[in-house]
Amino acid sequence: MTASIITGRSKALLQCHYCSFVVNHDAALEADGHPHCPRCSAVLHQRKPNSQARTWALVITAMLFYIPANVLPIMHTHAINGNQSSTIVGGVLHLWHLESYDLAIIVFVASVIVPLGKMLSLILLALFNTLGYAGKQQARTRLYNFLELIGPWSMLDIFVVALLAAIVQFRGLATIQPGLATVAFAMVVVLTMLAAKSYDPRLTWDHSKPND
Amino acid sequence: MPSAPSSQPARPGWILCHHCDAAYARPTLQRNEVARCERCNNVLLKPPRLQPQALLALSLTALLAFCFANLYPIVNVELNGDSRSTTIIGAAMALSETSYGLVTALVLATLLLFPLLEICLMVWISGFLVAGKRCPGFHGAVHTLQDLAPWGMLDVFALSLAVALAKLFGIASVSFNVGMVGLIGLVILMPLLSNTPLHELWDLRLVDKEPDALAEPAS
Repeated sequence: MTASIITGRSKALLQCHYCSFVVNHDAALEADGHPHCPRCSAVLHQRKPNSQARTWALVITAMLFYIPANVLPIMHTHAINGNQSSTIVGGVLHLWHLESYDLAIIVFVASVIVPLGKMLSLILLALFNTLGYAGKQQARTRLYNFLELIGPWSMLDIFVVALLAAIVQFRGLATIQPGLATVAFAMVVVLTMLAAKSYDPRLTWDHSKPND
Repeated sequence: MPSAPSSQPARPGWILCHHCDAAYARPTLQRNEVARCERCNNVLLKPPRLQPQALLALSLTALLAFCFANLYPIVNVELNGDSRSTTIIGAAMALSETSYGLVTALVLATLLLFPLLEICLMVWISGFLVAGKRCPGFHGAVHTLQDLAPWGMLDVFALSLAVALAKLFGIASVSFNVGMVGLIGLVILMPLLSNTPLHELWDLRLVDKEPDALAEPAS
């Protein structure tokens, strides 16, 4: 690693989030008091505005929605051999008992591991920034890139329930209805995606020593 | 740390790392070369690879696949002589009673509206680019495309369909319909389309445009 890393901030340079044009802060300043990209006119920010506060607020709200998402039923099955309501984890266990291990693992990863892992990772990342911790920066940056990649995959269970509810409408034999947990779970997915988008990975590096 | 005030004009030769804000002189890359940030090791710059003709062909094919995937049912399921089929819209509508339309709106947006908007904007932009022009509303169109990037979820939907059908196999008889061909096409084409280096759209030099004093040098 070189001894002297120059940062955009130390040179008062801004890079456009959309078109990657690099411009000096003062040269880009316009009448509305904000710097704008000279090439594509987007508003420029040195760092994402209120990144830490937004990430915290969104991830905490997502955690709150995660409770009803797991407690409430995600699916109601009405069949000739009885009615049944199942939660997300209940559905996974049911698949496991039916010896559909592959399906059970897919649903468990998408519905439990991905959203939980994403929320805990975001909390960890935001906490490190709040505390001003300046270690393991490469690992933290990799973790964030990974979070952005897996973002939408927790929608899986909602789509499964939607498809089953649309297809399984055989009156007298079996019908499937979505449960209220779909709403809470959809909120978890959207909120965690927004939280990841609000997080600014550059904050991780702002606490580095000048010659780190 | 407050930014140091400076009255100097922009230095066109700079490039900043999107991940850690390290600043470098913009390197000149050969084909197959990739510049990485020395500090965080993320990709800093790749050689340009955008081809308007290929993009137009890809987005028109995706438009065709989108029509097939949505105008025809995807699967038929039969149980005791009673047959049901579903479309993507049908799956979204099945959620509307429980969720007061909230989840339906999300499903329609991520499976229908956003992918369609992405495909149409690509056709619009690349169509004009092939003719050597910037489309009307270029700024808004490209900004919208860049904002939409993470919100299309057709690939997740395809895996969900596999899970849902696997649950039904053995209980009911499942057969595929025309919409399935379109959906498979979309699952292949949408990642290719989303993989377009959109920021390169801004770098393209166009014949009918007067030289842009602010454009970065080609080096």
